[in-house]
Amino acid sequence: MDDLDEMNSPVSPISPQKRRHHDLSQDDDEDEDALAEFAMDEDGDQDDDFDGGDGEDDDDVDIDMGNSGVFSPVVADRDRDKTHIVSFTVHAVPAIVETQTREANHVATLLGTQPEHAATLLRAFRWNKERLIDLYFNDPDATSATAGVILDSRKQPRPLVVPGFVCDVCCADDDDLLSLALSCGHRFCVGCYGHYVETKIKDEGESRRIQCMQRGCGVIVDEKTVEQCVGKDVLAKYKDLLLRTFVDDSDFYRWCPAPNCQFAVECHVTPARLARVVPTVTCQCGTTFCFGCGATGDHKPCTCWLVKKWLKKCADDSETSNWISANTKECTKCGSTIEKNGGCNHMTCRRCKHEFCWVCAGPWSEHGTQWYNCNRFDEKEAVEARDHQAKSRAALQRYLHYYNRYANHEQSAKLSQELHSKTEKKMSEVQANSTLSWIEVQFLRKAVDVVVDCRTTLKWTYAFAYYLARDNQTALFEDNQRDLEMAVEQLSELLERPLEPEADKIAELKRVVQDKSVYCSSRREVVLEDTAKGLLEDRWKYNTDAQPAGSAGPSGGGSSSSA
Amino acid sequence: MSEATLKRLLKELRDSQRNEAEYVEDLHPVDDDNLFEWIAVVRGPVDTPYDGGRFEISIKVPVSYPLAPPTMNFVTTVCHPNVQFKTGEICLDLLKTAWSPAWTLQSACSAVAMLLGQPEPDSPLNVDAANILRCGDTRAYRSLVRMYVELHAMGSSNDE
Repeated sequence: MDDLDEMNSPVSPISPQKRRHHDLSQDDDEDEDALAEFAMDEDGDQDDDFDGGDGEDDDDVDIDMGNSGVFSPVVADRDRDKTHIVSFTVHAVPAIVETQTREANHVATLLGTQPEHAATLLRAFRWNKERLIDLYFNDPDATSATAGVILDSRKQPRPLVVPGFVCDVCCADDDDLLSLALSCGHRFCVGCYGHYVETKIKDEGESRRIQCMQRGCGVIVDEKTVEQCVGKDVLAKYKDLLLRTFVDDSDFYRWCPAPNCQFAVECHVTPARLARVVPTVTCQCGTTFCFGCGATGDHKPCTCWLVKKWLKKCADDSETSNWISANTKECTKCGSTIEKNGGCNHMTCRRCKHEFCWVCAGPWSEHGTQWYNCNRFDEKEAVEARDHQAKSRAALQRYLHYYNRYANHEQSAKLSQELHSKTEKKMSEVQANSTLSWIEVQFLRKAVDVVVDCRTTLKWTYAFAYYLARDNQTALFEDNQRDLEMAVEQLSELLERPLEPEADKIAELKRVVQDKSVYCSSRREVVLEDTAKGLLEDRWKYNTDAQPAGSAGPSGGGSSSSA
Repeated sequence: MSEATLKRLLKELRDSQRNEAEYVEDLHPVDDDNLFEWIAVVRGPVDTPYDGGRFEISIKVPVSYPLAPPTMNFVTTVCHPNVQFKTGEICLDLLKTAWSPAWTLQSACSAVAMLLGQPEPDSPLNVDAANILRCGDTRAYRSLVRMYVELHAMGSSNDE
């Protein structure tokens, strides 16, 4: 493998970072982590988000064949770009500043203006370079006037001593008074300008729309002028505010929502595409969030507008859901009050030893490994409900069915914090009882991570399923969902089980847990991949509950739901 | 900053005595020792129900003037969508966010007088007046305003 890589390197277009992940995925069995980072495309080009693994990933094959063109390149499944992962780039502040300068300089050369004027124009157009250039060449004067710029390179704002000048604001008329005028020609003394700009920046948090002091004059005070009239700390704040507006204004940038995080994520998913793509991104600080709606966490496979609808519905029905999601349930056999304190749905009553399922309260013996069937709502009952009252009751029941499972996974994912500390203890126990080293017991922690990821996905699959119309696609989706849920419950149960200290039992445990983790990950991959492809292809049909939102949601959403 | 403020206020006083602005009949400090409290009298714009009325405005100048806007209140009772009926508080963007140091007390008074003729019922301080205007009942609005103008803003200048 090393030889191959060396042969490749002169012709390979892959950047060093990418290559590292590539190698990892070749020799590491558990390449799930690498996959996530794999998505961080260096060039951030929006066009290769979704076209399979062509182009740059197939270098191993090209070398072997010598002349390409006869055979189409063969790409291993795991090297293919995943449909449900979008490419994005994480930027630190200096890189963003550089991008801004580069864009401004580019526009400045195109329009033949000063970079600071180009920056003001760009800000007025929310950094949409194409639109700015388009409009500017149609009507340069009107475009720059609306943006608050007078493009006249002869009039550079510079502190000057003008004989006989009296400042209109402070009425100073000293002979050596320095004064400033923007390209509009309204002249004020440097001191007043400084105070004015400082109040705007410090008190009002204004940056890109500080106008000339003359009343009725809309010319914007540009960066160069601000630099000339305020102190260092105010200037720093001004630059910071400008930077914020750059990221806030741009459709392709978003700040990481984590507290005190300084990174911004660039992702080329336009708001119009949000009905078909869920752009989940991960910041360098480790925070996962949705680029589309800014919500923290991964809400795949639900699209942003479905998430919004679902959360609103949950909040509206809070009374009922409060009642239903109350933390305790009664044992179906002896009636003891039971609180769920772990992730697994397999409950055993301490008092009567009755085993039942937490979700449906049915006996656990009916939830065997072969025919686990606790995740789909039996809609036959809804059909049987003839009269209106029964129908509305069925609707509520249907909602509660999905809500219960949604809330249940959410709760379990929250309890994972506890599971983490428990696992930590278990890991040291395993180390003490066997010959395994610290690195060899990491499988337990990884398994917990897998469980948490899968539960988050499962949680949102229930919100998704609530809005799906009943057809064959949905049945397939529910099968995938059930497979994942069953696998997760089994893995979860393995992790909850008390440790047996014998060495061979531990080896057995490691094998089983690793098998299950890999299986869970692959099931999750299947669910995400299938739903993401379905969204892209407009394959999902939404039910009547989702229809009104189609029109209220993003423009693409309307057409996809009514098709 | 205080010295610059005083200098500026003195200049404004000189200017306001020399040339008169539209609608502003009188503008002077409350007493000679204090340049931070002023009194103004504006005329109601012609072709509006406020025509012929004389309205007294009290002005408080902040220390950070002219960077911060002055506070203005009607002393005369005014019925207008953007004027608080009881306190005389004025809702005008110029006196809040749209203030620029290039405005003067005189030009601000002028702008307030202009506001009388151009009510903005969508950001009301006097909801009742605004509602009448919003329903499109111009006749009721005009006669209501006229009644208050004749009650409070006509006749002797110190009717309050």
